[in-house]
Amino acid sequence: MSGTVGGAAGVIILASAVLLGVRRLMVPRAREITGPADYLILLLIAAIIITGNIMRFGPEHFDLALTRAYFGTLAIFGNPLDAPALENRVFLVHMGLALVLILCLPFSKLLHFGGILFTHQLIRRQ
Amino acid sequence: MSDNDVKQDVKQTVIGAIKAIRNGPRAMRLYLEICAKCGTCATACPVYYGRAERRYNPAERTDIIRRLYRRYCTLSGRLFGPLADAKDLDPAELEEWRKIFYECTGCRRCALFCPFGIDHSVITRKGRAILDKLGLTPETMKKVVDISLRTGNTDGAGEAAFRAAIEFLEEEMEEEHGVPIKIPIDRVGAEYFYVPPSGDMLVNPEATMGIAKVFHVLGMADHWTMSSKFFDGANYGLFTGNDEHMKTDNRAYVEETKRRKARVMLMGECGHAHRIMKMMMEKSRWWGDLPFEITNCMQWTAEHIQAGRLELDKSKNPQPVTYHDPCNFGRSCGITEEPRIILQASCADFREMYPNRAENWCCGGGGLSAMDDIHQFRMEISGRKKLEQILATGATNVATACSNCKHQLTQLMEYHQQQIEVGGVHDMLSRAILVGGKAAERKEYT
Ligand code: SF4
Ligand code: SF4
Repeated sequence: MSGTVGGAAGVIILASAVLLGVRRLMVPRAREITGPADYLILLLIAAIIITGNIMRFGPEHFDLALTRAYFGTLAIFGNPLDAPALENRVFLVHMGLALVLILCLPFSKLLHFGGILFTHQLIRRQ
Repeated sequence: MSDNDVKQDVKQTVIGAIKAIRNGPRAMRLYLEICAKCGTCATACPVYYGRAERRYNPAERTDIIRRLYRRYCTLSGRLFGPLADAKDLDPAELEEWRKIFYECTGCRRCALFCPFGIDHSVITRKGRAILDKLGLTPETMKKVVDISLRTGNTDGAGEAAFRAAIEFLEEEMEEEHGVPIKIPIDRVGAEYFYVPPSGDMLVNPEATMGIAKVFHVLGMADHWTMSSKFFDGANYGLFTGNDEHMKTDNRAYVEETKRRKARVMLMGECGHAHRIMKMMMEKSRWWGDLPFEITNCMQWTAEHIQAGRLELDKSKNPQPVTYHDPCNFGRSCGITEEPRIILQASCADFREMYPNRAENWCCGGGGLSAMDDIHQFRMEISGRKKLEQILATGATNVATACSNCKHQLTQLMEYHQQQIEVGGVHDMLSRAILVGGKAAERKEYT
């Protein structure tokens, strides 16, 4: 069950990312204000989604239980280096990119995902 | 100083101002950090509507500041430069800034539609403030600020001109109604101190006549006053980004209100003047506690109309009339119903234009109205949407409550050869109000 829902989400989110990219390229008022950083962040997100989907739908199916074990080791400050999850190369890429994304959050415009919650409030006060 | 030193100096000033943003208001930093570059603001902007070019895209204009902010204030910008959309300052671009930052009317319509409420007018004003520090404010604007600080009004009119104008208006009103209607000057202890834009004294004085008639009819002719030195609420410091000028100009009016010992500062039909007084000066307590309150003349008149204290003869204004919400009243101060109450009571055929109120499109002038050097830009680009909107109503008369809007709209109608009269809200009232049971003998106006 959760596998089906997860799979569907993976497809939908990929479609969304592609549509966002298409909109950015096709709508002039968006394209003309787009800089390298905007494309890079979109590519990064797309890459994460694609690697995620490869793991799920790809030929060597990746067992979710392995990630659970991996994060479990991390949580108790164990040595994660010999966790079996790390033997899967796609997982390594996927995980690495996700870490880059998290690293980028505070430095990039992606802050907007938080800002949307309170900018209107803040502006009204000033 | 050699040429190089000057360049270095300019660079220091600009970078210093950019770095200072870090210690400034939180909202400004968010505006710079979270723009998603979605382009929604462009659909809301009258300038971009007039011409869909990159240069006129709000997010592109403010990206000039954003790129520098990233370069000098963020780690990613310093490390990754262009990859993080950061850019070094190139002083050669300042000449272009002088044009670009004066191609935004400051209407704040973008902020209403941006999912994050990003207000490009605030960032644009920052750009202008930097120019002003460098002495690079466009000459036309500089001139108005200088005149205003020297004489207390943006038209540079002296006391004699003011008194002559008042005398003329009193004669005019006596002719219209057959009874003397006073405009008191420089009284101390009058309850209301009326602060119009000087345009409503010297260019479109009917609005001031309307106010005088309201006081007269209410039997309050002794309860108000104007000042022979301070009769212009307009404040160009708001437009050039120079806070010091804005506050100096503002302080003079607050002091004058105190000298007049007035209980109410009655702001005239001038959007930005009202906004500075009410939403900025009073709210942020620039000068501490005030011994008076601030009200707009439209709120005041509308209240008396609703209370049934004024009688009006609508048939005096039979032509179709529409109302243009000045951005500063409609969007920034929430004064939208009062002008409609006055107009509906004064005109037989009042028509809305769409969209209206807070969502109304800017006249295309705003703080730029005084700039004759960009006349063509205002007529063909920034004013285009407004023209279409007005024509769609079929009205032959546009009433609005702002000197800048009036100036821009009058020019717009002339430029596009439309027989549409532009005037104030109290102008329409002045023609319809009954004084001693009689409306003004209709003469040929305009
Ligand atoms: S609508 Fe707001 S987030 Fe979108 S580009 Fe304009 S300012 Fe940026
Ligand atoms: S303030 Fe008005 S003119 Fe300026 S960018 Fe925003 S919508 Fe356009």
